[in-house]
Amino acid sequence: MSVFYDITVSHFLVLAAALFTVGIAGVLLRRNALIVMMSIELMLNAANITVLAFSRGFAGNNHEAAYQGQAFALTVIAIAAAEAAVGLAIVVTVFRTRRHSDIDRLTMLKN
Amino acid sequence: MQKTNNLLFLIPLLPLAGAFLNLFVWRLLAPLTGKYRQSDSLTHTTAIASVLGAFGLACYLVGVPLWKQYSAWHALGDARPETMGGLHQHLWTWIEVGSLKIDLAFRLDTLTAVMLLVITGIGSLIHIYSVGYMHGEKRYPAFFGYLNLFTGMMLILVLGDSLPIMFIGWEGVGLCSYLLIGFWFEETANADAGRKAFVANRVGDFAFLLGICLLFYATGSVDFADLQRPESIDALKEVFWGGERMGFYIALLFFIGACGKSAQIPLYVWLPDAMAGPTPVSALIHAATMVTAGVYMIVRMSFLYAHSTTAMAIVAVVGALTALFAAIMAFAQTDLKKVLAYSTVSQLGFMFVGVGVGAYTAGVFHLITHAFFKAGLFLAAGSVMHAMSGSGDIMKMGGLRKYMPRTRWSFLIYCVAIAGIFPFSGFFSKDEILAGAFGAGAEGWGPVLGKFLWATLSIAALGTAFYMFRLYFLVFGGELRCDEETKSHIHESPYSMTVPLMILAAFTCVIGVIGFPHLLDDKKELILPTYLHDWLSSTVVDFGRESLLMANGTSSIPESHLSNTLTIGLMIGAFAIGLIGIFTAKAIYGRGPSEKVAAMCETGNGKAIHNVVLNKFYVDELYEWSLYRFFRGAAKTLHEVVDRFLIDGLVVNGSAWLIDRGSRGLQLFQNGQLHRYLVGVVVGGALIFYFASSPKVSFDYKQLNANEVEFTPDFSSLTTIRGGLDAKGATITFDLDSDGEADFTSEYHPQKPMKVKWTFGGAGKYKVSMTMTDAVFDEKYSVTRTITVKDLAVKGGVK
Repeated sequence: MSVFYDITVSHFLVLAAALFTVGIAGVLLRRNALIVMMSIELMLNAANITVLAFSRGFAGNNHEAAYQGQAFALTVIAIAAAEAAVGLAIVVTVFRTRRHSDIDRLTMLKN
Repeated sequence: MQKTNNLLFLIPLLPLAGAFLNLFVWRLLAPLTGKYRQSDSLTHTTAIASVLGAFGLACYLVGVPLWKQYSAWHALGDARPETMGGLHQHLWTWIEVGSLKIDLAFRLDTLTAVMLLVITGIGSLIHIYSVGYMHGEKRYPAFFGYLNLFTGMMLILVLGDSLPIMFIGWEGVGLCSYLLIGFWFEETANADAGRKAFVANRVGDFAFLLGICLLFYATGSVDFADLQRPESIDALKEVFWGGERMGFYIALLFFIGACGKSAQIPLYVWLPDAMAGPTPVSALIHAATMVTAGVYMIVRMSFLYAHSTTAMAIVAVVGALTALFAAIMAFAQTDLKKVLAYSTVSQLGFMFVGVGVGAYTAGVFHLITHAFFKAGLFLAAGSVMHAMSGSGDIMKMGGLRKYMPRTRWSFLIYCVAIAGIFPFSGFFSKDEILAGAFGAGAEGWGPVLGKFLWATLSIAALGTAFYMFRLYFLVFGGELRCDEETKSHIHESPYSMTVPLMILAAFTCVIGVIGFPHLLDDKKELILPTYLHDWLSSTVVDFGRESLLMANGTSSIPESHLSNTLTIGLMIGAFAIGLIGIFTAKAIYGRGPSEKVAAMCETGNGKAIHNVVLNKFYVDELYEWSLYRFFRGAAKTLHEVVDRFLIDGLVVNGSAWLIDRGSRGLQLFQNGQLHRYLVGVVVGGALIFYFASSPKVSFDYKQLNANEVEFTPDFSSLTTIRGGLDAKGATITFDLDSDGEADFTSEYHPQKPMKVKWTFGGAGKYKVSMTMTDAVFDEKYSVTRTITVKDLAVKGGVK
């Protein structure tokens, strides 16, 4: 039963994969733009967990490699924040003009 | 000796300006004067003034500066240079590409002078005549505009100092001929005649153009003066193809061009049909000037023809046959202008014999006299048709001498001249050609060719006298045969039409003085002056002398001067032939159409012959079957297969169809459904991940000697995708004897390609496995191959 107390890199990877799958499912299946954006945040964070897990699990005494992974994760968080700000602004604007935020009905650019 | 003269360009420019004014300017200005169309008087005043201006200028230039130069040249006696040069004007360089340099330059030498005076002089008369003839015509300005344009182009043709400039004029007159033949294009037959003329001319023009290209290829020059330099002449003498000289092929191509323009066999078919045009057009273009362009061109290129006696023989024989056959075809024609058309073809044949046997002066002489009497004949015919309400059927004429005396007397003079009766001009010119043919005997011609030409031409001359007087008696002699309606309208034509007739008749009487026969007295001096010969000798190469040079002093120098007795004998013979023709015609047709002849044409052999002649030897039908249908069939096939199927069907519509269907398919991808886009992204990403992370490993092997084999692991796909970091830690194992145990183990390093050597027990098949163990994920990838170890000893015997 070591899996319950001996937490390895694989556990983090499984968690990240689960989160990523939830995110993808959210993006693909939900229509509300707000929910889609939240799902994207989930996927980004899944990626962050993967990066950090590898960084902690394999870098060992190689500090440079460890910091690379953590810096990568911080960059992703920053960009995710920016993306969320812009995305939310767009969603709000769309909602104001259309009175909905259903991405399936936002097909002005079709064809 | 050539002198620069800055007025030359005005000669062609004046008629061209007249054409421009009549075709474009006056038409646009007409509304300003409150009229719907330009007035007729303005139109013909412009046209006549421009041609008369050109005539005056030509007279001045020939009479003063050129005459001065000629006198000075003539005074030099034996010391004079071979050619005189004449007046020259260089306007600008038209084209300069590599070694090809074409100047827009004009030259007025003695040959051009003759043509200039004929074109502008007779042209002026015909312009004046047209005022009366075309009176009340709907497209009056267009007619005079085209006529002026023609005159300008013809002047460019004769004035051009290089072949390309000449070619501009050559094509220009062809265009005007087409426009004027089809002037009354409302009738399909007229438009067809114009098209036929254009196409037949095109055949010749293309040959002419090829000749120019070949000449440029051979000599590197297209300028008349340059072409006569010794190095160019040497290039013409070189053997080119099939043992013939370069000069022969060029001369032949030029002659085909001349055949087209001057209506010789086999391209003469357009000229009789060209009579569909208004009569002044027939007189100016299809009798006096354009159709003689071919003769002019050959005389102009005489230095070229002098270097190929074969080409000259072809010219002469074709000319003689044309003269004979056209004369025969004229017998059965019942249309006034058609008879004259065949007569023109026949007379052009005479000219070609003249230039073909090297009697260039005779050819040009006949060109001049023919221009006068044939232009006159056409104008007189126009006058007759004018009186007969436009009909040209000679079977319905007769007795017109009472109604139109001025036309009748002019017509008679022309007929006498063309029949070759002393002392009218046609006698002298025709006789000179006959004498030239009789005495012809260039190198390699054989003794009979000249006599054959002479005999053929004599028969043709007999025919000429006969059919011309058949025409005369049917039109003016006997009793009137038309209906009452037409009869009430018969009248002599207005003076604007008859005065040109009389002027031409006067010239026809006297113009013969410029070319008296070559009669020598005891001191080898000429008894009678030969003005034209002297005048042209400053430009045209003397065939006798050239042949002498050609033969390099060996024998077979043609004797161009016959003895006096022979010359006079030939003259009497020609005169007698003319008289025989006339009296035969009088005997048969003196009182109108002969019933005997009609009866003869209705029965047996007479009927067959008559049919053949009447249908012009079925040449048109022959062309229709052999060329027209063939090309039409080929064009149709090409149209169906290449155009409609390949280009229209496959390429044009096919590509459109493909794009249409393709874009319909692609449309599915751009449907605006964000979810579907995302599915694409996710599925695509997953696929990339799958393929990128499933490495394929393999190995190659090579047999080194009897039993030893070398193995080389290959996991390029692995290293490229995962990068060096992972692959570095990979472990490679080989199981070489298929017992499941590793026989060889090594750590893979990308910088050190590994090789494994193994000795097998002997020849045969072995199962070999390679396994790669991923150090990071602890995964194994393995591959198993069956290898063949060959028995080298058996196969090669060595090693």
